[in-house]
Amino acid sequence: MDCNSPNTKKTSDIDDVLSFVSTGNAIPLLHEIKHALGQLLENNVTSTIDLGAIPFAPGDERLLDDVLGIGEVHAALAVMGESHVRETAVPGVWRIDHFDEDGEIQSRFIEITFMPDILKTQRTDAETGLETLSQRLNALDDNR
Amino acid sequence: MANKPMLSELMKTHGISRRAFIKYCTSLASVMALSPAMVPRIAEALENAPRPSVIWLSFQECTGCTEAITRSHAPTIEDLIFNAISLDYHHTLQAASGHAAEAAREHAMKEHYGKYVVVVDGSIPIKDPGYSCIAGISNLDMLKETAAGAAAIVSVGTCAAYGGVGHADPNPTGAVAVSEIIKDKPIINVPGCPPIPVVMTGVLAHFLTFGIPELDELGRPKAFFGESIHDRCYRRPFYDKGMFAESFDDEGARGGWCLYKLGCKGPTTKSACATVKWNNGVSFPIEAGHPCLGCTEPDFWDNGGFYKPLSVPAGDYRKLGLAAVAGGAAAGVAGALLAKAGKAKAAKAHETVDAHDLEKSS
Amino acid sequence: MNNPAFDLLMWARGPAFDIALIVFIGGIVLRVVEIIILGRKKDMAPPKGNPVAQGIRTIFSRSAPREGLVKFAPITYVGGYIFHLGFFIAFFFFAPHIALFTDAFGVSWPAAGRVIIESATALAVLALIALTYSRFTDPVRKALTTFDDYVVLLLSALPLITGYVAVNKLFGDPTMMMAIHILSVNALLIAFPFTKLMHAVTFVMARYYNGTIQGRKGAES
Repeated sequence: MDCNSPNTKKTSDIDDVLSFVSTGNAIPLLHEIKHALGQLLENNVTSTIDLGAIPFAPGDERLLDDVLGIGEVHAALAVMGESHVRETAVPGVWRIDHFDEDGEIQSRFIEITFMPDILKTQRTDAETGLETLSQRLNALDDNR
Repeated sequence: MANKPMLSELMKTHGISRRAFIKYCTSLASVMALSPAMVPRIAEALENAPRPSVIWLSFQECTGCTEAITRSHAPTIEDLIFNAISLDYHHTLQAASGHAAEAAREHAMKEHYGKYVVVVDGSIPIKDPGYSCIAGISNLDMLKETAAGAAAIVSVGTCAAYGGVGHADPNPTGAVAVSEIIKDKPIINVPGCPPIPVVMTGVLAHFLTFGIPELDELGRPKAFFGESIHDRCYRRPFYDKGMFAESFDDEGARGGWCLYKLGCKGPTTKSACATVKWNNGVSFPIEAGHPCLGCTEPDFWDNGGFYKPLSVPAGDYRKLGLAAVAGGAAAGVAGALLAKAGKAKAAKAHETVDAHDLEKSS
Repeated sequence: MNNPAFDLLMWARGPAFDIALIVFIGGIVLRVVEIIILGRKKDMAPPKGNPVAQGIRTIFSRSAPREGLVKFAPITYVGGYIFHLGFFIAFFFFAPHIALFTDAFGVSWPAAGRVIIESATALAVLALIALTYSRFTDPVRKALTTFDDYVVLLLSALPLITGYVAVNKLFGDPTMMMAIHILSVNALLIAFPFTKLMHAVTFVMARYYNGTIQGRKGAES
């Protein structure tokens, strides 16, 4: 395919073919997730897996998506760029994707937990929140 | 320039929530190839460590490394400049110029003597130091002067790390690497032509949080340069099955087969290109269809042609082979005629042969 | 500064290979030309059979062992076949080696998968070990074996072993192991014209000669 050809974008046919290219890394990863979920239920231990550390081809991604699926929760965070926290169809297995301010992918994780840390309010933020709330209430009082 | 505020104060002033900071540290851990379990340590280190002064020296270079590092997405160079380091001197990125710029450098050196980080890109010409000067100061002198008070030196790009394209045959300027000149300071080599942007920022980030990372025998951080391209290449299954592209754009090339026969230096090159990839993880040279040049290895310009497979001899052996045939034939004829003459002489002299003669070698 | 392993690799596939190639080709051509020119005394008597045809036929027929010989010296024959076949497959059907021929002569042929190449290599090495063992244990063979024989066994084994180690990255720096592999091949090439490795070329002439003598006499070969 050369630059003069009318369709230089990937066709869906090629995507389909590429989606079968796989390194074979998806299956061991899924076993690791299963083991971690077992550990979560037995010992309350949270695990995080960095997807950036493992060579993944489109076929592996497809397998991961097929097996894990989409669950009930989707949280979109506006935190120095977007972040998306989704529970998969396997409760307890969360996918966390961080994007930077330009919309480019920054990092991707799979967290096996009852509640991902990034969703929880951080203590320092709550302290700042208390200050903010007090200031705003004072402003309201002053205006009465 | 003195007493920069701690990161935690900065965040509060800029209204950056701790949640945002945790996201930043999480992505940073991923970029530094560290386990997610290290995030709390990274957060603690970034919050409490003072922001070091960084002096960036650009010598005999093409500015590709600076271009690349400004394309880094995580952590962004802006994050680094504004939040974690104090970039006090950089030709391309600084606003000042001329005397004001040099004054900034000298001030930073004096203020933070013994504690600042020197980042170098570009090689240093020593054949005649006048080949590359900044504000009248030769690169050689500026490097020696600036390195004297440095806590550590990071050689970014193959030029600074190993001499790079300047050092390639015939090396007219006598270009050398930083490590050939500075022998008494810790040097981290981050080679590549250019290095992957996130690798550059990841190494700097690692240095800021945990100090000098573990280095291999060529001074490269093992986190990013521990594996060869070949071992992480997604086209490896094709190599193992013996499916190779024979020329550019042939059937094999279009099928995404292994590029070994097109000269790929993946087996002998250690870099993170196959996992971390380029342009925010979009692709890397082999995925785009071009064999790896081996640009993180020293003297990759002279290590046989880019398109000559590693298994092929590098010299002009065809000519030599033909010469050997001709020479061998001539010598063979001469030897045979000599032997024939010897035989004729022996026959004339009625020489005898016995069993012991057969054991003799000549 | 350069990676010392890469410097060695560049020397191994550069000047060292050039020298090895000159000795290899020059030496083989020299010896073959000498053999042909020295020739044999012409036999004036009319031949009983057809010497030329028999000579040519013998070149091929000797590739199969004579009846009863395999039973007589099993290790020699079985080990010999396995070694030669294994070496042939590992050398001619491994893609990086095919790349060498493509660069030199512009020809190419399909490559075999790694499993086949590795099995062939391992079997060839095992065969060599068996052959060496039989040379040591059998008293007649031991008496016949010279320095030349041991050198050739070693030099034939080294490229197989070092190649396997380099490709699989079993130990050592990969670039260094590749350099050592190419150096071992260079050693084999240099030793070629001076040792019995010449049989790779002279077997044609030797078999032809045996066939043609018998053809003259009207005997079988």
